[in-house]
Amino acid sequence: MKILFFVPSFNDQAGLPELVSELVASYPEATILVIDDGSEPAIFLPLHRTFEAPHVVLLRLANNEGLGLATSIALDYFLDGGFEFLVRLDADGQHPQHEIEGLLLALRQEEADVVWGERLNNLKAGSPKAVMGSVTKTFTAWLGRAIFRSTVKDWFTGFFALNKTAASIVAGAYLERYCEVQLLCIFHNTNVRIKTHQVQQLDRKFGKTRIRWLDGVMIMLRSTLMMFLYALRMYPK
Amino acid sequence: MIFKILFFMIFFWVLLRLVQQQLLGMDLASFTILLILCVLALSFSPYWVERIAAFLEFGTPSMAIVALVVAGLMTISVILSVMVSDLKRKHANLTRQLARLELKVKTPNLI
Repeated sequence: MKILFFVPSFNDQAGLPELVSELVASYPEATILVIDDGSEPAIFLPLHRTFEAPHVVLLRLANNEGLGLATSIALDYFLDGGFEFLVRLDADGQHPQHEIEGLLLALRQEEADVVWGERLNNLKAGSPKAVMGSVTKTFTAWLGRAIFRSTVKDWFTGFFALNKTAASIVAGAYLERYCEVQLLCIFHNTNVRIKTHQVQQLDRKFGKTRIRWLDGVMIMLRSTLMMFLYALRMYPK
Repeated sequence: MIFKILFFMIFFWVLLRLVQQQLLGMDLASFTILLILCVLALSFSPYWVERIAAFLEFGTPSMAIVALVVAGLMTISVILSVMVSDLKRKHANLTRQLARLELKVKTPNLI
């Protein structure tokens, strides 16, 4: 089984070498694509072990282009390289690696084209910003249920796996900066088989969230706008 | 009130059409919606309308004049946003193609 791990990274230098080493140790046959989305300073991976270098590919983008473009690049690489499964996970240590098998299981058994790592503990109320984030997530899940009859409760996770069928469908789309909602809209609209796999998100090991108040408002508006487009059958060309 | 809702609905629909046609990016469209919601909220407060009118140095502060100026600015901002979106999309496509080539060069055995 050819697996491609896609790790988008923006200023995640602290946690990346450890994550990559762990992935290589757990999946020695897999390829790991790290896309440095314009980090300052540039991401450096000390690929000291001889078995790591052939399996790890680091691509640096000169500017911070956003997750959408990084995902599109990863999808191109996935399809060009003839991989079977693509697993996306973050570089900050929040996504539990022991759950990767849980994501891949339904794909291997051909029960789904996409397995969405639904976080059970993603709703928080520790600060006004956290409350706003939780409201956005709940509202988006409610809209998803109303528009697509979706059972997905967490539309913003960055932890998911997909196969070639799903990848070839989204590879043609122009993905926006925060593209998770857009991906799910496309999957729901094209009747891609979606399964969820519930995970407990870990505490962030490195760095802190870069989503500020205005970003939060914009994410909510953007996802609402995206869903309205699909609800009104005005699918982006 | 009905006119305000109607105005917003039309504006919202135009934005959706622009996004659908890929003429306007989602982020810029969202930002424009945020602006228009602010303007609509503003229209409920005569105090702020007067302040803005005074800032714009109109002799007779009125919602009509402020609305006209805001509408003009909004139109210009949408046109500029469409142009920026077009450039962003072209830039993204080029970057994507370059990245694809770079990955092919980096891992010739894989692809």
